Amino acid sequence: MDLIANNLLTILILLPTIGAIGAIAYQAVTRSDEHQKWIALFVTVLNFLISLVLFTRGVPAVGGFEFEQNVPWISAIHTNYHVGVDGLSFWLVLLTTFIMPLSVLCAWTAVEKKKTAFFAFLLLLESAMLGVFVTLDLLVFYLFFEASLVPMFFLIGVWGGKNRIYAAVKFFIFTAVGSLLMLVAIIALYYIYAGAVNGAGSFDFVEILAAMQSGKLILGPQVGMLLFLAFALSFAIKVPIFPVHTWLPDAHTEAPTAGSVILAAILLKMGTYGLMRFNFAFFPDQARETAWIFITLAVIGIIYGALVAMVQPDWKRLIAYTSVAHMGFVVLGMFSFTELGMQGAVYQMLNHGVSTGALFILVGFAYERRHTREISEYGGLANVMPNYAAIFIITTMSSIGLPFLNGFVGEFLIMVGMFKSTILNVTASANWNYVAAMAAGIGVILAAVYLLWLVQRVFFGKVTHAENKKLKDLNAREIGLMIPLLIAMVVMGVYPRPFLERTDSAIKSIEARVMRSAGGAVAKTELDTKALENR
Amino acid sequence: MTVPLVVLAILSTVGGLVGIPYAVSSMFGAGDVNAFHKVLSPVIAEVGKPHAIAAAGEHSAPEAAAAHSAAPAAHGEEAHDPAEISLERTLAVVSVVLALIGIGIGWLVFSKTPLKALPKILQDKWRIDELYNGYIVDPITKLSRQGLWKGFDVGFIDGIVNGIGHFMVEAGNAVRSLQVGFVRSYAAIILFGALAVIGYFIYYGLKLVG
Repeated sequence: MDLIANNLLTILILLPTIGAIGAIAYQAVTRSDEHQKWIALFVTVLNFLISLVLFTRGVPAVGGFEFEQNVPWISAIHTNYHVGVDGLSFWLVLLTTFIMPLSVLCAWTAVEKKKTAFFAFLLLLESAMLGVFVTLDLLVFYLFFEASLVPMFFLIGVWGGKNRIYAAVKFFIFTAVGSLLMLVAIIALYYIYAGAVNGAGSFDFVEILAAMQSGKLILGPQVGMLLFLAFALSFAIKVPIFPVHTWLPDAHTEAPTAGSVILAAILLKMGTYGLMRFNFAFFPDQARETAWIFITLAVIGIIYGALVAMVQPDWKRLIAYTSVAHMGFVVLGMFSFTELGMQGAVYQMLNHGVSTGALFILVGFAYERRHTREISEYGGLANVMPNYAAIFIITTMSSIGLPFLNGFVGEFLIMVGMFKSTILNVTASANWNYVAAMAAGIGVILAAVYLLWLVQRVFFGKVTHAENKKLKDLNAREIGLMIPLLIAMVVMGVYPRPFLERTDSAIKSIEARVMRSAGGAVAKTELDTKALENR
Repeated sequence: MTVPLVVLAILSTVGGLVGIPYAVSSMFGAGDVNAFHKVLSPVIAEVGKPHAIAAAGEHSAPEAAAAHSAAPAAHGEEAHDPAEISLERTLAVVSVVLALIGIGIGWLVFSKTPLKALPKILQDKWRIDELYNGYIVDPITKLSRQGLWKGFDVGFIDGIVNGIGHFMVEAGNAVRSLQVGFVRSYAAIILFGALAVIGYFIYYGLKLVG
């Protein structure tokens, strides 16, 4: 047991890769690709169970990490294999291990060609994503960040829809361009650190941060801003923040169901996670200075994404555009720099993973039956597939933010946080925080508009197409894989406290870093626990 | 369905008696008989006296006791402003008269012809739905579809992204035609280049001399 706990994160990262190699070896030996899905399911479920060991240790102290491992990797450039988990990454790791078995299950019968490669790529992707969330060495973080692109590129490009090559290339170039700038910034930080300590450079997140906090390493305003922007652009593309979002609708729509689920549920979180982990910790002044830009873009993204989602004739593309709106909420909460808003942002990352992941799985079920994504091809499905309709509508409600379902908690916290935020109040008379919070409120209304309209067109009325009359309702596998998601929606909506408690100390330390480094001039908003309990 | 309707009809006839306002009951010398008002009053805190309700339960807290004594009428007989009472009575008379006028019009119109057709505007619910659709829903969907999605998203942003791609391809094509591996065209290019360089020197040489 100790062996597992001491190497937990390494096991979590390596196990899927071993599974991928196993799947390929199985193909090489038996010349069959029928059982690879079982290997993938076994490995992802096992990984999920192992990831539950995370609960055995408490919340780390402010600024600290649990399950830490730090082993030299390339000593010539002082880069280490340094992993650890804190409140910020804790739930994201669990979200990843939770979603992966479900995405294997939803590809169970949908994938018809090159099955070995498909499941091997899924497993490799899990390794890369877990690596991103737990790595504390900038260079290794960058490697995992880039490594996650490759499996996804092939998942879209090989198993995607009609326009898959265009979508895959667009996805790859968009995200690779952004992250190359981040690589430059990482190397720059390495040399700046070397200069500051009069010694060797470092890629270590903890070391660099400690040097910054102790005043040994001080970035000039211009250098700081350039580095901040290089990191921020890379993550903004990943989130995606308006106006660099256009890779998302194409990639989500063309990807196979499992790919869309992973993209929406986990890959997008790498962007918001990166902003909170690196941009806020390394460049608090720049984060405060540019907050108004990010808040503006977030608000535009919320309303713009919602309006564009509303008019999509393509069911899957509609869900894709809702991601732009929902991730806008996350960005809004983060840049409010209040504890409530940032807690809400982390919570909303998980919500979006669960709800939008579920929506993509559900669209996949319909696509598998009808092989079309046009909304006008459906209609009246509630008569033919009642169970499907019920599950879809519950998921819709969760995505809209109905109270007692998960979406509400996140959106509520983000809006309260933004409402109380002082980050936009340059002068005493300006109350832009109210404007931003209320604009976000419009986004919630629009979410109800586009999703309920979708539900109306797809599920209600008469069955207008003869092909839809004999559609089969969900089978046991399909219902079984939706049940964990539905449970998560309800639990997270009714009892958010354990989730928020885990993230609390990490959020506090980020908030303190950003707001206090202004020299105490910025007012600090206390976490209103009462507001949480009364909710 | 008859029994529930009977129950509801009885309740709707006598239900209002629960909350006879003081302004009406005092006309008959009955004092304050408004039971409904008292049921709700503990729920709604009065502005400026936030602890008035808590004070009733916890007499130990000194400031709560003070708040209680400051609001002696809160739970007992309320002070009734005569001006307010006369306004209330006037409004009650006006609303009764309006209701009677409505009943009268209905009687005149429908007593002879119960199925008389009404103006179309009433059947169309004052066309409020059409108003919303025409002036709010349609413009927003149109703007979203033509302006934001097809115009900005696909047209502008993707236009830039794809434009960069096309530019690269076109630039590559332009440069490629210089590299065809055709030796005589290379020789011609070298010749032209050499002539240009020599011409340049001659031109500036003459300028220096002249």
